[in-house]
Amino acid sequence: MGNNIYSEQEKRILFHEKNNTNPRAVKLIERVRGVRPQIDIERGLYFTESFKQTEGQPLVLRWAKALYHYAENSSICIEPDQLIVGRAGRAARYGILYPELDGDTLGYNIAKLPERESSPFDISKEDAHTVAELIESYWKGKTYHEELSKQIPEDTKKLTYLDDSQATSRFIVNETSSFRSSIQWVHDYEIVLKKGFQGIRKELQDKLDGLDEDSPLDQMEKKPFLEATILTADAIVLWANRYADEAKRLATSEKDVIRKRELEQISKIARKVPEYPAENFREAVQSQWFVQMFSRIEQKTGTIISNGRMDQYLYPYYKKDIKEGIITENEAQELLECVWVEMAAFVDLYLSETGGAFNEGYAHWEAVTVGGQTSEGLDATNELTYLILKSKRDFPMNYPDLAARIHVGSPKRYFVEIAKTIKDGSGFPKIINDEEVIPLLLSKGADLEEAYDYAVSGCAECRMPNRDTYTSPGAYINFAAALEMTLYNGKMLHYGEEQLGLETGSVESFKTFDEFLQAYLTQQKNLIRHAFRQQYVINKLREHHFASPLGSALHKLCRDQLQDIHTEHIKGGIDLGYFEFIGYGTVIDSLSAIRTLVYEEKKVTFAELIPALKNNFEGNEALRQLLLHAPSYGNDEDRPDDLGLLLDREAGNYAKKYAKELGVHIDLRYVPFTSHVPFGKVVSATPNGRKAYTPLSDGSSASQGADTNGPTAILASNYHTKTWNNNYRAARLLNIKLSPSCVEGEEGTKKLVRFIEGFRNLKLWHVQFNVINTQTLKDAQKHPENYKNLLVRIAGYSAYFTELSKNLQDDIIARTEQQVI
Amino acid sequence: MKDTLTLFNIQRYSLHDGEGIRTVFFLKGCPLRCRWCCNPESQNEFHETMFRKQLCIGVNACGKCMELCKKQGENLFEVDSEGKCNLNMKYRSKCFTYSAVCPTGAIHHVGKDWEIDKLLDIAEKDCAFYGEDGGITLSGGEPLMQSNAVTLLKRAKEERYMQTAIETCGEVPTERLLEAARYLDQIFLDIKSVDDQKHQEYTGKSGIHIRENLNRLAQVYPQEKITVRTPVIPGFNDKAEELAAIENFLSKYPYIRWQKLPYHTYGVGKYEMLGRKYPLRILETQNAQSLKIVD
Repeated sequence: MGNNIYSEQEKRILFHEKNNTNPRAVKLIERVRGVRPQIDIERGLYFTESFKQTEGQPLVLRWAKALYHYAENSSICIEPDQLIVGRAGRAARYGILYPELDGDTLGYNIAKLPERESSPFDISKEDAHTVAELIESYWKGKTYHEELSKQIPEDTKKLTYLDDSQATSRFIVNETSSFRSSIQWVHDYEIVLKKGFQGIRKELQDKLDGLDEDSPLDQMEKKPFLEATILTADAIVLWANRYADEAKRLATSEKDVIRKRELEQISKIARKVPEYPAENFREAVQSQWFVQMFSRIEQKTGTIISNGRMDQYLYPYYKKDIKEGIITENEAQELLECVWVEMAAFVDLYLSETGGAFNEGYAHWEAVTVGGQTSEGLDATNELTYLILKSKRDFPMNYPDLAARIHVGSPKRYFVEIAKTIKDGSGFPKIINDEEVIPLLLSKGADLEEAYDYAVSGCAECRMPNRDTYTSPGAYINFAAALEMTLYNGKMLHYGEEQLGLETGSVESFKTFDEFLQAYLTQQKNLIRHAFRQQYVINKLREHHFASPLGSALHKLCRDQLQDIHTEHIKGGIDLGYFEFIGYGTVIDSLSAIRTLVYEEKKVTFAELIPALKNNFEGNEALRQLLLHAPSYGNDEDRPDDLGLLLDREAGNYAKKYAKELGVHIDLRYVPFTSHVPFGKVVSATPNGRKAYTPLSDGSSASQGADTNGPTAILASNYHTKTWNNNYRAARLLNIKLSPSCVEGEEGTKKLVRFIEGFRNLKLWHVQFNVINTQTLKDAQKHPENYKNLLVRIAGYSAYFTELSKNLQDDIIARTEQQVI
Repeated sequence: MKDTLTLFNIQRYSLHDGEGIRTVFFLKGCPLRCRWCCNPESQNEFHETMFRKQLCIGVNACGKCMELCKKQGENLFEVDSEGKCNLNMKYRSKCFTYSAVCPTGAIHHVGKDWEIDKLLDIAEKDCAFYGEDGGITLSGGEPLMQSNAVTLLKRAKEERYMQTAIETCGEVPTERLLEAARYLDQIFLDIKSVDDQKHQEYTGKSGIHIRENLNRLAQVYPQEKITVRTPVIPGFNDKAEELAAIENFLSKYPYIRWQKLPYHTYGVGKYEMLGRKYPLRILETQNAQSLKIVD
């Protein structure tokens, strides 16, 4: 996600209020909005207590026992006014601990949390003490990240971590597997709604009863797996029943008649789901929420477990209830918003600074997917799709993340409602394109019905909940660092004399641009090479540290193979991993500037350029301006988009050739979260005029302010730089900034629809919109060099903001403020 | 020689110059000199230089233009109190070589000659976004000042199957306008006033020929596709009776859409960049803030 986009929205949460049609949601939000999150230690504590008791047992069983221990002992909190129950914390807004990931450094990190610049958390003294005494002390020497840093080979490790006790990231070949125990994931929630855990449990029990007593494999591997998944089914049912008990207890003493009735109903529903199949919309929503929350308790999934295709699996219940008059549209929306609030209350807590830097501003993406096509390949849009979009407009918070799937057959109304939602609600939803995703999934081995039925997961990933089987987080590679290594013969200014990259020669030795380019590509490949070695270790190691009995019980292949989802390979699965290209625009533009100015126009020599870069352009602004004005990516120009394509193709070709050795599809991806900021912090000034240690370009977007031909051009540049005939590719994340005036009124909606259709026609993967706010305009006034591409509506025409006079800028700032309010 | 057109700007993803998403070609040259004109760089048909002072980083940090002056034995710039180099505007048509050395774009060369093929290629780059309504718009300046504009429209229609629109001041040869209309899906034409004397005074031409052109156009071209625009300029045509007179004139054409555009002072800075004086006394108006198009 783009730099500050989420923290801007966070600000909006704190200060703005929109009309909300649902008074209950308003009350609930008040308790969460602007509240500083607290750490709730129960999850960390009960898991640790249980793990102490189960040493030596099969990991999946230990996990199930820990879940059961939690379900038995955790605090049960029902928020006033809430209709939906199931929490993992007592505070209004909270995060929880996963010591199996980073328990050895808990004390160190927790001490810093309240003062941390981005996403601070509070913790009581008493709890901090408990963490140090009871949790950290146990995990020291046992966590995944300690083992990983031991196993990564030395030369790869040098690019991965600093040489310190915390294994702090170098931000060059960054591994992300030690701050989450799974990549972005989606469960098959439908099976719970249809069969209940009772049904799932029965299937597992039958399998357990049918195991071969003589088979060592059955007894040593399958049996603990089945016992674990059965115990987990019991755990979640127990946990839900404790909510039923608590609601009943509260109802007894409740004076307010209406609330009393609500509590009684909560009790009745929690007694029934998720143990038994849901029979109406409310039960289905509650059942899904219990599963989702229990999954959050089970493990730390990257960007939080996603919601899947809510408008699909909830629709039969919605349709039936509406038809039978059991529920109104408003009541259904109210229930959804009750869930949205609980999602906002649970904050994805990243303890390490690396994790925090990846997800600034309490960012989490428990993506709700709407629209797209059914597993039969027909358009999937329904009335619930529209209700969820409406709820996103009415609900003034940036959780949950909403993803709208589009395809050539999506109805016009759907496009219009998406456009309206983008305009009204902080740029939601993001859009994912079936026209790109489905053919890719097919080419990677999916069946048609699975590919049609994919769900968006996390930031931009797409999952087939019963077919995807690869959960290992991948490497984020800083290719701007590779560029710097090309300039300094394998070294980086930030890391001094240390030889980090290859010795490709001094810049003066490159007689032609092609020689320079080849040197860069050598450095690029070297980083990918180390990323793949790193991944090799990660793939082998994770199954020894993580298990997911709940996630496995909800996965058809795991139930068939009787293997935990974190097993390195599961028969019949499709293993889709990825590695990230960080700094794409920065690298392209730097190469382009060197090609044009050094080798072709000969306006600049390396003898001038290198000292200027080392001095961060101090005293040489004229040179920086020249570099900034060199042809840059994102303008739909043949050059330098040719360079973009080359980088993409080279990186993709490596994956195509070697990912097979790891037995997985490791795809090239351009999704930085907010990590282009920390990655930028280790890269000195670059030849595209970027100043030292400032953010790199974000995802597949252009360098900040470099795209001056408007948003259609950045989409076209993406189209022209993609290696279409290599399927070792995944998402490209694209942020588009528009001023509110560009999308104003009916006309604005219509034109936004056209833009989205254009995105679909170009078969790009992902796009999201930021309808720009005043703060940004003010910043644009102060730092025009970063905002050359900012379009604003003036009067009957649009213009680039930075080309306007100061007075006019002031005028527009004043006007936009009025529009935003 | 190939067919060319002189443009001062190309804007992709334009949202307010016709239906849908459009690529707008801004052609240089205009027969009128409207005092409120917000694009003064569009008026002359020849290339010129604009000095965008806010982009200049100053002679201490840069001074590339001064270096070139010295080399060529010229004296086109003065250094102002902020240390920024200030182009003496009487040399503005001389200094295109200077815009080439200016790294910031402060010395900005206005005007570029484009081959029609190249323009059509640029327009085609956004065809994924046009849908059934978007396309190209010729604007300016007065696009029909350059006869090749008709060639561009014809070829856009016949060779590239594009939607086309024009924004014209109407002060153009009738035959050329009618020929262009054959290749146009939408026409935006200005009727600024029906008071010919005032029209003469504020724009340099009376409105007679413009109204005749509209009349001829309305006879041969579907009225539904014509939008008449009136910029409402305080002191020029903003009185109720003046607007009523325009409305009355337009009542002959029941299917023509009429849009009033509010006055704004957003072009004022550009006059300074061109070394000219803003010809209209700057008007403070109450509604300068509200810039919605009023139908």
